[in-house]
Amino acid sequence: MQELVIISGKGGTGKTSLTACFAYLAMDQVLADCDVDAADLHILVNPRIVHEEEFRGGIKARIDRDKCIECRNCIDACRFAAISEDLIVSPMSCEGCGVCFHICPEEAVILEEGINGRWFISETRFGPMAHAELFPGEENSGKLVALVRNQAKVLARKQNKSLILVDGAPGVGCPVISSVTGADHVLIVTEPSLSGLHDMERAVQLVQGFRIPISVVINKYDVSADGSEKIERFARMAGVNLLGKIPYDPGVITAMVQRRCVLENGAGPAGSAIREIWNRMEGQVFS
Amino acid sequence: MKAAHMEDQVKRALSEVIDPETGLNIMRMDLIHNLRVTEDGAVSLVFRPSSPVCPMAYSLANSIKKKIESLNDIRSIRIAVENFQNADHLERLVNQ
Repeated sequence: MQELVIISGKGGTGKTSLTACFAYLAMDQVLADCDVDAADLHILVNPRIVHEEEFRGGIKARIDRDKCIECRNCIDACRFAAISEDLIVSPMSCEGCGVCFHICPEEAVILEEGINGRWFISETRFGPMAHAELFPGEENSGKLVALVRNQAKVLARKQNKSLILVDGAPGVGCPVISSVTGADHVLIVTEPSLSGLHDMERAVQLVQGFRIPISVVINKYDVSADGSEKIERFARMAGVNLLGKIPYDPGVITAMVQRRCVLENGAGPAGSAIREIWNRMEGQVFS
Repeated sequence: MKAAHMEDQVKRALSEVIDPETGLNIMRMDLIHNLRVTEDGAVSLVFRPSSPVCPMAYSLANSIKKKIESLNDIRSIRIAVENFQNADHLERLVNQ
């Protein structure tokens, strides 16, 4: 079983679109949407949820007003300004650090496990999928990513699938680290813009820190020849495999609006490039 | 006690070992493979951490051993470790 994780550094470069295209081409995979803070692969693959559960990944403080003597120590100590003047803890601001719990002289602060999100096992037209949603303002996305990846592996073993396609999160933070650790290969999708290059460099540094093989794809490479050249130069210097380049294609937008991957709408410049990239992926990475 | 009954007991006991990262028990996470229990209480299993760099692997392996040891009629435990970068080291420690 191979696990391919698709990340980007910068958001909006085309991770999810490419993941859906790879799922269309591979057809023997389990999908995992690990962008749990802003999951969107489900929009393209229209899942039928077959199992769902609550995710409890953190704690929140609550003040027992019967015990509270209104000393207000907790208000002064809270680094997140989560406790109001009338001693109510805002669940949106509380990080669950527990300082209020430890400093309260009356043991009036209670730390309670909350529901931070939901996770799902679904069927899609591209095969099974593990995915999740973290509720707005909730923390511990890394834990939820670990859970989604684990359940994707369980599905792959049960259904004898040879590939797990992971749609990762943008950035280089906790959910990305949780998405890539222990993966077989990481594909970084970037675009020829200044932030695309900068954030790709950071993503490459992160993944190289884990000693995981990396490939790079440049999406919409033809909107800036100069930007693409800079990305190619960086990839050569960093020893990263440039797997391919995808041209700008309005057909991608049309497909997105129809909630399909671009390959489902027949031949086009982006689709042809993606097919070549997938063939190279199979030849160079999975072999 | 029949081996099948003992195997059920071991599975139930292992279902109480929770991975702190996911909040799921290790049986649901499919971390235990090839579980075998003989009539005379010899348990063997393969422990596959969720990642080759799982930071909880040592702790979980220890919890697995202690949980099985706590059951009646268990004579020996053999834990093999796979899919982990320090598998040999962990295997030596947990089987001491």
